[in-house]
Amino acid sequence: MIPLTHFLVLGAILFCLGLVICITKKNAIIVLMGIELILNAANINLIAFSQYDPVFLQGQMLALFVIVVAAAEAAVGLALVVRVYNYYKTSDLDQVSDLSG
Amino acid sequence: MNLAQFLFYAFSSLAVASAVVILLTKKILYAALALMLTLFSVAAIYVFARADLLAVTQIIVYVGGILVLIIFAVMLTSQISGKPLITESHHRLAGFLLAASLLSVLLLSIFQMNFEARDWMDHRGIQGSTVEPFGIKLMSDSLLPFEIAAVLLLISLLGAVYIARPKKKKT
Repeated sequence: MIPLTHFLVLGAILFCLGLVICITKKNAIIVLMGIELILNAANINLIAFSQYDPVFLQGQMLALFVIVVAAAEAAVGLALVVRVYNYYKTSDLDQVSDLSG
Repeated sequence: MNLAQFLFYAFSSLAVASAVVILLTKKILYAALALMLTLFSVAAIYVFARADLLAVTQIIVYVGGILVLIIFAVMLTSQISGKPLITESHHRLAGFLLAASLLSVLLLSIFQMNFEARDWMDHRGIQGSTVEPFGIKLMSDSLLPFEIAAVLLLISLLGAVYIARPKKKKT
């Protein structure tokens, strides 16, 4: 059996990589990819702890709902990106700055 | 090191390596393909944590759904005769510093916590396939979140279609 710590370390590394992608990239689609990475890292932690949970399969159930919400979020987010692109003719987040003071 | 451990570390390093590719590459399509590799490796990691149903769900929903959506969005937001599909990056130093400090804090707390020795840990583990108990639990204990998830998916589908629809031409 793989030790729990190794799952947690993998989750932490993927979370931080997703965070760097969210912060540094300019394109909105890549930022959404970073959010997917962060959600996956959280799911790894949930499933790893679910192996040792006295309440059977509790963490896996939560991970399933995380996947569902991630699907809904990706659909709405990408629709917003397409809409913003139609309006501003760019998907660069820095140039969508009509409200900046 | 037996075969299962070797496969676990191989898939974890594959996941981390392709996530680094997403970070380093400038081409958005390469990033999408690297994301696919990451999602497949994470699905393999789920198998090692005894979550076989979730591994299949991950492949169906992420690779079959979200990734196709992402590639569609890449295609729709590219100028047909314009620039190539590349993305710039900014705030590099701040991002790396923030993530490195967060990673060090997380790793430090993971190694200091010593989760294996906590008394709420149940070391019997999960035996056998989880598909049947998962279905029973989904339809009994968490029926209400299941129904709410169904409504959420319907609303987000309608909302996505409504937001992304083309503008009406005024006649």
